[in-house]
Formats: sequence, C-alpha cells, structure tokens
Amino acid sequence: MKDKSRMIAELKTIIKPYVQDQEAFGNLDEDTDFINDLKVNSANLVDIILDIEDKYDIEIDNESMEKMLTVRAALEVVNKKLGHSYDSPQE
Amino acid sequence: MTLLKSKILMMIGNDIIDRGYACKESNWRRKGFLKKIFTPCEQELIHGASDPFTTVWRLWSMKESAYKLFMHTGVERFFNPRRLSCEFSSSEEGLVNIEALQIHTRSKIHPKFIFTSASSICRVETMDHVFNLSKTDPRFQSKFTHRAMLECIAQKYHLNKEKLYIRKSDQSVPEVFYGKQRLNISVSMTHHGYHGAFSICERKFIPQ
Repeated sequence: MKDKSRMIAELKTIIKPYVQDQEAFGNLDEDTDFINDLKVNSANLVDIILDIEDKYDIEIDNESMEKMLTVRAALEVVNKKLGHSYDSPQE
Repeated sequence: MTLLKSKILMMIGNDIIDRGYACKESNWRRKGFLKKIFTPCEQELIHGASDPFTTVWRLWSMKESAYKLFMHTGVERFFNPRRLSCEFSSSEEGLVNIEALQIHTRSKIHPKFIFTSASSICRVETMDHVFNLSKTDPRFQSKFTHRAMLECIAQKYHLNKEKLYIRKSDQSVPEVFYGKQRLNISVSMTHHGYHGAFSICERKFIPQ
C-alpha cells in the first residue's frame, strides 16, 4: 500500500480544480465528503473519477463508483483496484 | 394506511443547471464522460439530438432531480447516475426509472438554464420558483435559497417565518419545521451558477 498521506495529497491535487468550498478543502481529511463538504458539483464528480482513472491507470466500474462519495471511500477503491490491501475500519 | 401511502407516494426533487456555467465547468465530450453517466439508450438520444448539449444537461437534471426524490425513500446515498434511466415523453416531460420506482419529470428549457422538477405522482403540480443569484459562493447560495423558500412557505400558509427552519435527514433530504412540528410538505432546493430554485408540494394523498 502506498503511504496514505501521500495518496491523500495526490487526491487533493486531483480534486482541487473542482472544489467550491475552499475552507472545507483546507480542512480535508478522510471523512471529507466531496459533495456535502467540498460542494463539488455532482457532474464534476465524474471528472474526478475520470482523473483518478487516468492518474493511476485503473478502470473504476460503476459499482465501485457508487461508493466514492468521501475521501476514505475513494482511497479504498483506488487501493483495491491497484491490488493493495487497505486497512480500513469499515471493512 | 392513507397517511403512510401519502408519505410514500408524494415525493419531489428538483435540479437546475446554469447553461453558461455547465459549458465552462464540464466538458461532456471528454472521453469516458458520457459512458460513466448515461445508459446506452440515453447515449443514443444524445448522439441523435440536434442540440446534444441541451440533451446532455436535460438528462442530467432529470437524473439529479429523480435522485433527490429517491433519497426520500430512505436509501443510502450513492453515486451512479446510470442507475437512473431516463426517457423523454415530450419536449418537457420525461420518466426516470430506478428500481421499482417510476418518477415523472418536467423540464423547463430556458436559454440561460434548464430546470427539472420530479414527482412521484404523475401530473402533480409542484410549486416551483426559479430565481437569479448574484453570487456563486455555495454558502451564500444555500442560505439565500433556504431563506427564499421559507419566506414563500410563511406567506403561503400564513406562518411566522421566524419559527420556520429546515433540517436535513441523513440522506440530505430537507424537511421543514415550524417550531417543533414537521410540516406535511415535501420540498427540494437547487442552485447552480447564477440560478437557484425551490419546489414545494403538499404531501396529501392523491388517488392515481
């Protein structure tokens, strides 16, 4: 597994252009919700998912995409697709 | 039974898209974009349309408004627009299917915006208000839209607006309270770019 903080930093670079609430972006952590907290437009959530696919060279199927509403869920999906184990309290 | 039925049956949702903003914010021609959001039938509608931009965003607003309505059923939030499949019934009306639910939509195609209101019952008139917003800051927009809707409710039902407030459920469904009492109305709010809207509908039982 990649270093979690490094992955969060990479994710932050991807989502930055779509964020509408900069204050919430400054306080971003694993629990941050893309739509409710960062006020990302839901159509731009598709862009985030496409950008993640490009960055990590993975394909995110719609079933995996369904859960990608938070930073934590996005990290889990990426790690799963990369074949890395991810130590999550939710799993 | 009637009360329960009325609660299940009368649900609404809405969505507004600022056309200028959508043009700037999203590139629907981006590789993979349509495939992630739209079913094969919807993609055909888009590719065969004389104005694909309007078709893309009309379908999107149908999905968004129907999704908001679907959240009233208490399901967990999800992000998978393809699960909501749309068809057009006329230049304004449409249907969105998700699981066993069939949702009726009406879209207003304006040169500046596309507004869709969704209802769980066919031909139910929702009270829709569309307005301009002076700023695009999401906190300002949310506050402005809340206030505008509560003022409208206060006026319509002769209530003291100071006692009205909105609380969101775990599924982010807004509910309107008057003091401690929850009002028997279904509401939905939306804002995008320089446009905002709210919809109000009484939750009374209407025989189909």
